[in-house]
This record gives sequence, C-alpha cells and structure tokens, in this order.
Amino acid sequence: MSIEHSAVTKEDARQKAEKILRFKIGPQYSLGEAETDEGEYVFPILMSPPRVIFDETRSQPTDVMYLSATKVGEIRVDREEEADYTHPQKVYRRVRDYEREIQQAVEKALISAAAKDFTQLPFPENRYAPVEDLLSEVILRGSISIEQIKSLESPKENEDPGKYTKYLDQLTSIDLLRREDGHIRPGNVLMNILRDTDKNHEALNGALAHYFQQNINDLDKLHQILGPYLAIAGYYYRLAIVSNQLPSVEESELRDAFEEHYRGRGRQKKIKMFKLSRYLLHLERAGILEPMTGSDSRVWAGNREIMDELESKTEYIGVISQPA
Amino acid sequence: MVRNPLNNWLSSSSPDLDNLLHVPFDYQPRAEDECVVYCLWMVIHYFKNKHPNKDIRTETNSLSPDEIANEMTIVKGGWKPDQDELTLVSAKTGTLRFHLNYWQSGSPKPLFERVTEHVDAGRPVIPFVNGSQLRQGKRDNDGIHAVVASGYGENSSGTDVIAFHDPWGFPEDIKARPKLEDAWDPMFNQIVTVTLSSKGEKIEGEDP
Repeated sequence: MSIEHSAVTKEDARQKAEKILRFKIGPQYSLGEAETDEGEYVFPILMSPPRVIFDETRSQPTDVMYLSATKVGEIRVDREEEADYTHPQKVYRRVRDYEREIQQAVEKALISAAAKDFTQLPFPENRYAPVEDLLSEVILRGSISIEQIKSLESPKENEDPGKYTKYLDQLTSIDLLRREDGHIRPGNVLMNILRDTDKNHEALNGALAHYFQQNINDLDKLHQILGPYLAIAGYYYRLAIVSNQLPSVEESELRDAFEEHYRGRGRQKKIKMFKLSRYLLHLERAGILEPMTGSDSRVWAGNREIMDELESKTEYIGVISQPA
Repeated sequence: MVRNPLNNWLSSSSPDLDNLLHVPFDYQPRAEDECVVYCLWMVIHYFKNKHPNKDIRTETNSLSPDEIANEMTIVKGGWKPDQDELTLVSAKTGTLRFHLNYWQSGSPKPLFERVTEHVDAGRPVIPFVNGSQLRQGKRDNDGIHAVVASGYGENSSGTDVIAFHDPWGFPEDIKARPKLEDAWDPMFNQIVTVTLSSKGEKIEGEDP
C-alpha cells in the first residue's frame, strides 16, 4: 500500500512533523515540502540562520537578513504515524558546519581580494619562513642548486621530503619556481612579476600574493600561515559584506570574535588572546583594518579598496551577500 | 550586554495608544538564538522597575539574561519550548508565573485580543512571530522568534496596532494588527503569558 492510500494523511503527517520540529529540534527551523519514500512522508528540515544587521557604528540594528536556506536534516512519518528524525545534535552540527562554510567562503574571498595586503603581515618563522627563504634566494641570486636545498634538510626530514623540499614542490606546482638542470630558477609567474618591478621586496610580495591566491582552496594550509589574521579580518569583512558597508566595529567585539574562534583550546587560546593587540597592529600596518577613536572606546574600520574587491568575488560570497 | 535598559521605551513621537506598558528594552547583539531570554528579561524588569504597585516592584527578584539562560535550554536555533523551564525561571522571580501556550490547530482568540486582554491587566506578553513575514511580508524558512507585546491602539487610519519590542534590536516597534497576526507563529500560535504567582497575588491584594 502506498503512503498516499494509508490512514495517515499528508496533513496529519505534517502536523506530527511540526511538533517534532518545534519541541525536539528548535523554533528557528522550518519544514520543506514533503516527499514520499518507501511508504513514508519525508519532510526536509530547513534552516536560514538569521543575522541582525547593524548600522555603520554597530550601535543600532537596521535590519535582519537570513542566510540562504539549507537542509540540515529530515523528519520521516510512516503510515502508522510513527516518526523518525535526524538527531537534534546532528542538526545543530550541520548548522554550525554551514556557518563555518560561509566563514570559509568569506576568508577565500578575502584572500583573493587582498592577497597583496596580506603579504605585508609578518608571519610566524616556523611556518612560513621556508617559502620566503626559497623565493628570496631565487629573486636575489637567480637560482639555487637542488643539492643545496637537500643539504638544508635535517636527517629526520630526509626520510620524508623535508620542509624546504615540500614547499619547493608547492612553489613549482604553481609556476613560481621551476627545476632545471639541478637548479631552482624563477618559474613563468615569478619571471612576469620580476619583469613588472625593479624592487626585489615588491617582487617577493607579488610572489607571496600569488602563493596565497593559488592556495585559496586549501584553507588549512593558509590558516597555518595567516590563522589569527584571517580570523580577525574574516570576522570584520563578513560583517561588512552582510551589511554592505564598512562598519565601525568596537575592539571588544573583535576580541570576543577572536576568543570565540579559539574556543576550547586551553593554553593556546590564552596565548592567542595575549597576542591579539599585536595582530591588530599588524593588520593596521598592512592596511587591512584601520583603528579609529570612538566616543568611549577604540573602533576598527575596513579598507574601501579591499571591500570593493571583495564585492566582486561573487563566486565565494554569493550565499551571504544576497538575501534569502 | 545591557545598555540603559530603563530609559528605552516608546517615545513621545509614537502614535497615541489606548494602553501601553512602559516595558524596558534591551537586545542581544550577536546572540540571535537568545531572543526568548531577552524577552523574559524585559518582562521581569517591567515588573521589577515599572509596575505600578511598589510592593510588586520590591518583591520581584531581578534576574540577568545569563541567570535566565541558565535555566533554559538554548540550542542552535533558539529555545525548545518547555513549560518546566519557564517554571524554574518563574520561581526565581518570586512574584511571577510564566505560562507557555500554543495551539496547533489555531488559537481560539486572535493575537490582538490576547494582547489587549493581558495589557489591560497590566501584563506584557511574549508572542512568537515569523520574522521575515513580519518585516518583509513573505514567509521564508526562518522559523519563529520571540518579541514582547506591550501596548495597543489605533493608528490615524483607524487600523488596530500593536506595540512591541523586538530583542533583535528593534524597540518601540508598532505594526498594524493584520501584519503581526499574519506573522504570529504559523504552526502553533505560540505565546508566553505571565501572571502573578500566589505570592504576587497576595501582595497585589494587599495594595490599598
């Protein structure tokens, strides 16, 4: 017997699903259109996370927008009106995943739009130095012998590709460097960059910007390099995209967002929080954020050129720049 | 985050309302899931700070949003309605009793009637509304959201209006009755009401 001919009507099934949705899942969810599947009505659970939009001073809300709806679970009602549904914790996890995807989309757009600005930031020696070392050596001296690279790797690293070899592989794969006759030389992209500037540090920045842009889809890698800067700038520019303006954000709000980003990471979080002021000053020096004196506290604003670039990155930010 | 909560209520530029309770306003920046906590907070602080009976004001315990939230299960996507949790919050106030009401087949009374009945009795109410229906006139997939209704009246064209605070940051909002009723929880017509507890009733009864 098909579900359409069973005792439970579609309306009965929906009412049953509504009760589960409200009292087991939560109030901000909704039900999509029912489908029938193997004698059951299947209702998708949808969520459009709300976002309160503030004015430029971040003091007065001006609107509420909803992110595009996403399916986060389902409720199944059978012909006996028995129901089964996605476990609530799984539903909440999917919403968090969805929000994380959106944050990542902003970060990708930001890296794409402001790669050159990010190259102005100082990066942790241990993570990033090999990339700069390799590029700087090739920019200043024209080439490096592969033997020299190998001699730099520690014995343990020699079992695996060492860190220099690993980054060398990455840099050759994106045409910044190339291997030739036992040497490392500029790749096509680096040659073009060198042609366009006579300042070596500008060439280095151009090469790093290319490196960031080419690694947009490997956010884990970029987080190892830009982690705290991306967390702060990503938070700010997400607000900017959603509200379609450059808001003035209180430093305390950035601090809260940064703390949230490193939630539950114990000592690492404490150390990161201690470093926040330094990260903010670095972002200021790189022109990514700008401090302003508010009425009773310091506020931070963004960069108009970066914002204009960001708005053109619709392939990344479409989901949050358009109302649901 | 509490900012001048006792100084924000309907301004003098608002239309004349037949009855309006001066409910303090506060909102929850960056905490969209906690609307009901802030609504309860506003209602409690009405009784604590603005209720006409001085003894009710004195005997009502002040609770912070955090203290209210500690008694409630706020999940990703808001508060799962639960009378037991409201009872716990009620007990902490000393003088109040919150009630969860809902009707899946539709409330026997329209929202406007419920608002007038409670506001006339000196009690704000917390209806749950579909935000996109309320603000954009079309229902999206955003579920429902709590607001505090604190007054009613008629606008210049003779349409009934309801005054409410929206804890997503919109105080002093006034909407025509059909707009708010269309947005009123399309699934369950959910509304949280408040009455005085037996202690509160006793205090009120002693008022000369």
